[in-house]
Amino acid sequence: MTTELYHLQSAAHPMIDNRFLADERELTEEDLRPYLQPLGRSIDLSPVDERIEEIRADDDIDAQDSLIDAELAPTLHRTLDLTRNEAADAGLWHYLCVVRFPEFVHYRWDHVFDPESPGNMEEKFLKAGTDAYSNALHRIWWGAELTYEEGESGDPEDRDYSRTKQVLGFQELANDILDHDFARYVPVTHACGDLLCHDALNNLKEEGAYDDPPSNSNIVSRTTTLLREELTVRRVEMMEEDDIVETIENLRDDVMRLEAGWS
Amino acid sequence: MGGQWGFTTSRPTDARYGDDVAKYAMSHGEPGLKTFVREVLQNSNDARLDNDQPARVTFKLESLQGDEAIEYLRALDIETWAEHANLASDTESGKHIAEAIKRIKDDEKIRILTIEDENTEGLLGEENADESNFTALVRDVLFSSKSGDTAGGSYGLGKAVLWLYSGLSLVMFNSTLSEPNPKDQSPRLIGRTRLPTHKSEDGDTVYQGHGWYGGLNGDEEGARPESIWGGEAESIADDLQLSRPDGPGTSIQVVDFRVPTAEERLDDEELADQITEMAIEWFWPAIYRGDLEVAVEVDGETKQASIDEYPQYEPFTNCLDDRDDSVSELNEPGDVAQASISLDVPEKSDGSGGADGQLGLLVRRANKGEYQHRNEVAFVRGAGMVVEYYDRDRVVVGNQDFHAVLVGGRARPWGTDESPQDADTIVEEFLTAAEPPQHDEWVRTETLANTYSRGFRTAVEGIKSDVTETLRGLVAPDVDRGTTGAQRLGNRFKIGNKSRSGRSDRESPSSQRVTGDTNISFDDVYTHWSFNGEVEPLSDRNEIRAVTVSLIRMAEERATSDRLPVKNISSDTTGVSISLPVQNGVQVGRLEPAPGTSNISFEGVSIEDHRQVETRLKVSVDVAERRDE
Repeated sequence: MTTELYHLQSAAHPMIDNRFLADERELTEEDLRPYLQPLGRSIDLSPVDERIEEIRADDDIDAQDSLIDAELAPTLHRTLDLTRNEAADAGLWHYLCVVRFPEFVHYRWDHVFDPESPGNMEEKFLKAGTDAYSNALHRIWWGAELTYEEGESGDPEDRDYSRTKQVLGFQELANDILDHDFARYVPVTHACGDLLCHDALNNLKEEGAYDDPPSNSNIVSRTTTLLREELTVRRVEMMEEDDIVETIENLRDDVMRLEAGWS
Repeated sequence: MGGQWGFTTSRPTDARYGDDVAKYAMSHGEPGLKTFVREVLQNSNDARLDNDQPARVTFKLESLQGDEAIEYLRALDIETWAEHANLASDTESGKHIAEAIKRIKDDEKIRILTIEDENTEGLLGEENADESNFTALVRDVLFSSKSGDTAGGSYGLGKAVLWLYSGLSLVMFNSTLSEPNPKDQSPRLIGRTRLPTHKSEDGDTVYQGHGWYGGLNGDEEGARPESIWGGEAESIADDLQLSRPDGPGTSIQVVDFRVPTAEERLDDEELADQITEMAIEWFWPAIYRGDLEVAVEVDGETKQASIDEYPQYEPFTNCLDDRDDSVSELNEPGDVAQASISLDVPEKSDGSGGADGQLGLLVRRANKGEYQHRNEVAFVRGAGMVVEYYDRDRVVVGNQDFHAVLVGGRARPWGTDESPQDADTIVEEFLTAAEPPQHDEWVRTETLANTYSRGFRTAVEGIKSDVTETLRGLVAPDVDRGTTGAQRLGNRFKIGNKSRSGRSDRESPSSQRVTGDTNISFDDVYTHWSFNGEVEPLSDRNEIRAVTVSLIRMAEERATSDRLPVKNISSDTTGVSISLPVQNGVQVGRLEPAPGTSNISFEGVSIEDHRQVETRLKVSVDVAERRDE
């Protein structure tokens, strides 16, 4: 069964109140009808529903675990085969989160809800656009878009999402990449994903080249901060891919050796 | 027959000079080639004869080698000079000079830069005149003889750069005078060196350090050699590669030319290119108006500095070209709009002057691809030099990119049929007084304070905020501009660094209560950041209790929480106690002034910084009500 895609207009935002955020009531397509603008596309989203069911049934994945993002990403990205232009429409993601997948959003993010300051939960439903960090589904889709590798056939089924899973499965890394401007340039997100994921960092630590390296989260947070500082004086789009990799490796090296300066 | 060196003597009790103070005053902040090119061209531009011809300036770069170099040094009487230079080698700068002369002798190679100007006044004036071109350029330190109101230079400091850029601190002059001299025939030749104070070998005679190359009259001990004239001067000039064309003007030769802070010696071609571009960058108004021509000659090949070859400056000249066809809204790339900005010049302390002046702001909407100097406003007055490129990138969010020229003083009517009015002359004089020795901005200066009565500060400090406000109106015509007076004042007195993204800065309490100015720049020589600033409370009822200075690392989108440690901070304000406390693990600079202090200035440096990423200065000021003293 296909789902018709809509853009949810911002006039509907006041309806996303504390009761909705606390999962005490639903908002149906009927409730929101006056604010739904058809986008003229229908997509069969049942693979996404099925994958969510599997994830919820998986004993190794707890509710609210960042692994949920990593596990859902390949299916969501393959199924919601949007152009970047379409994916930049915040209202589409608002519709998907509020109307089509609210249960999923609650399952993944309920722990951030605080009735006193509902903003953190609200943004899981209502952010998006240039903010690739907040909206629950938009974040996963863009996380995949910026990290997957195209297969030889160019067929969505042939895509390699292993980097996507490494990035989204490591919340600190996903946040540090998605929250910053450099994420808009794919060679950087690829290099960050490859050089700063748990596997890469654990391998380095096992090699024992560094005496007392910081935690993986600290390495990621510090290295990406240094990278952002570096990019105040270098234009990343002008850098060769080798140069990007070398720059990040060198910064990571400083961090591993605890020589990364001042925080 | 040739010239000789003579050094003035002084008494053992007189002040001693380790080096020439003026050299350092000029080099402060911007010791690269820019200062040199700006100052040299400004000198010639100011000395232009009052006719329809431009002042023509040619920079000639030559590297002499082998016999040619030896001949040259002989003509320069280098042996006598070197005896003195070697006596001065117990000072730091003396040591450098002694090293330089040794290098030149060993390598038999010397680079000379000759700046030849034509259609200028020449070195007019008696040998010992109180005030003349000659004494100003050749004899005096910190005297200026330029007519006070419109000349580019008004401190007499600029010429000091000549010696700073000579590895030997030695400069030769040969000049053809524009007015006949009653006694002597042009050309007029003289040399000058500025060495540290030194003693004769036997220790009996103290030489103050200033030396002249010229002809000695009589045998008087310690007499200053004077200019050599006429045929003799011509013959020496030949030997010194310093011969001139017939017309009036001056040739200045910087011996062992070097850029004091350059990490490596640039080759002649590179230097020539840099000089040409800087001439255009800073003097396109004078060149465009036909008042100045600049050329650079390397190995006998001359290249004219032409605006056509540096199209990045054309958007600015287009502002003047299209002023008469200006539009009210910048709809299309290339459109030019104009606006007037008022500048109320207060009366001088003696009651004269004072005018409701106007500055012209010309704004041209940028074409795609015109990215150099984009969103900058070139500040220009009648001297035809760009005083400053004022960066107004993202002056409003989502604005149209532009290039702009602010024409003030005698430059105000440029591009129209009008002539300068009396008020323009008064503004010209005011703006000249508002330029510090480097002539690179319009700010509150001591000259302003000494010359003008109350109101000069508001006038000069208001220029930039008025330019910004007017630009907002032109580049973002749809924006609601209902800014209140108080908010405008708040912006005007904001201190610290502007927000890069164009978002409005969060106003910190101190920025609403203090005014001031801060600068930070990277020093390639020492691989650290140098910063300085000055703050004072807005209200006379308040005083400064403490100033904390920290250095903030920027990231792509915003400031990070990283700080670069302050290594040192100092203040020339009396009674300030200085400390370097650690805040959140990082050393910051802290100044606590004596009670009753209202104005405090500081300067300092960071620790060594090999990353050299964007770093800003944050100044937090504790202000409180003035205590009873």
